[in-house]
Amino acid sequence: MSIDLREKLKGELIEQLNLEDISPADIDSSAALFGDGLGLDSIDALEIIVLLEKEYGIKISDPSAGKEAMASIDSLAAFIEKNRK
Amino acid sequence: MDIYILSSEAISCQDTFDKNELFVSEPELPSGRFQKSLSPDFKQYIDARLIRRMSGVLRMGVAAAASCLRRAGLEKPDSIIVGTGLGCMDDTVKFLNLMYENKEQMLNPTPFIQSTHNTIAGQIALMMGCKGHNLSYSQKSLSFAAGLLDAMMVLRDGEAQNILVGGIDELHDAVNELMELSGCVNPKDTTFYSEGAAFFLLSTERGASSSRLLDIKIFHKVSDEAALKNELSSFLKGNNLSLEDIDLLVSGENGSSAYDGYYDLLKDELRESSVVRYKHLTGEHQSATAFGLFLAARMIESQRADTFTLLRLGRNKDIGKVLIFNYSKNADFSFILLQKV
Repeated sequence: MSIDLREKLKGELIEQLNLEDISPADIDSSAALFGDGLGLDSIDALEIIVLLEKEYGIKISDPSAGKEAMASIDSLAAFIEKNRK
Repeated sequence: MDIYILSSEAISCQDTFDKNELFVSEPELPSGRFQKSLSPDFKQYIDARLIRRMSGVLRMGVAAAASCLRRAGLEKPDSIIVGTGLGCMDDTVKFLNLMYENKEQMLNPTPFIQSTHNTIAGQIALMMGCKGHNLSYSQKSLSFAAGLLDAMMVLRDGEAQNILVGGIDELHDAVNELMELSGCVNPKDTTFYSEGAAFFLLSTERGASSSRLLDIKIFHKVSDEAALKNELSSFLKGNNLSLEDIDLLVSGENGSSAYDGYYDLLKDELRESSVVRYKHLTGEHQSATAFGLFLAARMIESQRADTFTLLRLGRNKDIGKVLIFNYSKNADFSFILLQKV
């Protein structure tokens, strides 16, 4: 899996979700994005769906696949590499 | 039923936030036609997890509301009412730009959710856990006065014991540009445009309050000067007062050569009253009259009209009864009457 993609994703999430006072180095690639980890919520999930479509041309049609993909930076990067057009 | 102002708070382009005394030293006169507000340390008032999603107007509103409540020593009000002329303009413009740029596809949810006028009152309610009466008024420069009128009616009907009511508006470059293009900004005038938030905790319990909100009157237009004089005298008469009873007039004049005439008329009518103004320091916006009420409440509390706002010293140095007068471009008039307790 591309390290560059994970770092790029971290930067995109910080910008898109306005994660103040957080740098890419502060985000653990394997940590949970929602709940206890980065503390993202349902509105952030919608923002990530828009980001995936806009930046990577990936539409999430299956909600359970989306939930799995958005578990962490690692899973999100793997999902993008598998589905990007 | 008597209604008291238990606390007040204001964010403006002057150093007015979290201050017990206003304009103690000479305030800096803003330069330029558009002046942003001074930002307090919002993180002291807003949860770090929530602040990242909030635009400037939401931050101003939530911080001013939270500080106002803190000053009153209350955890949450029974009700929240907000007056805002333009609402969440930053998110509105962001959302419209996204719609245009993305051809109405792939729209980000945050600016959409937060682009409505009632986001401010809603966000304050969410932060405070207040599930009571929650309303937002948007009637141009009457927005705040309309909200205040509603608050008075709700309190008098006994539906709430205390209400957090505020006026708030934000500047946006796109709006500023449109104002200039449409000729709303006269380069010959000293008027400048600004943003800000002023909140008040109104209560039917006196507590430690210094001022009582007596009455409000709003009207759209007057046919001539005589009609305005009639509106004033009937308003005062309705409160068993005469022109001579008003100790202080808080004038909403903003330096407009074309539209400040009715302020001069009222100053002539209330010839024995002291007169203060504030828009030369804090600017004009559609909820600016909320700052007028803030200034009036603080002057009653301190019994001091500072030299930076004072236009004329009247017969009576005691600040007992105060009239706040505002209108915009010869329309949307409001009288707000306060009394020292």
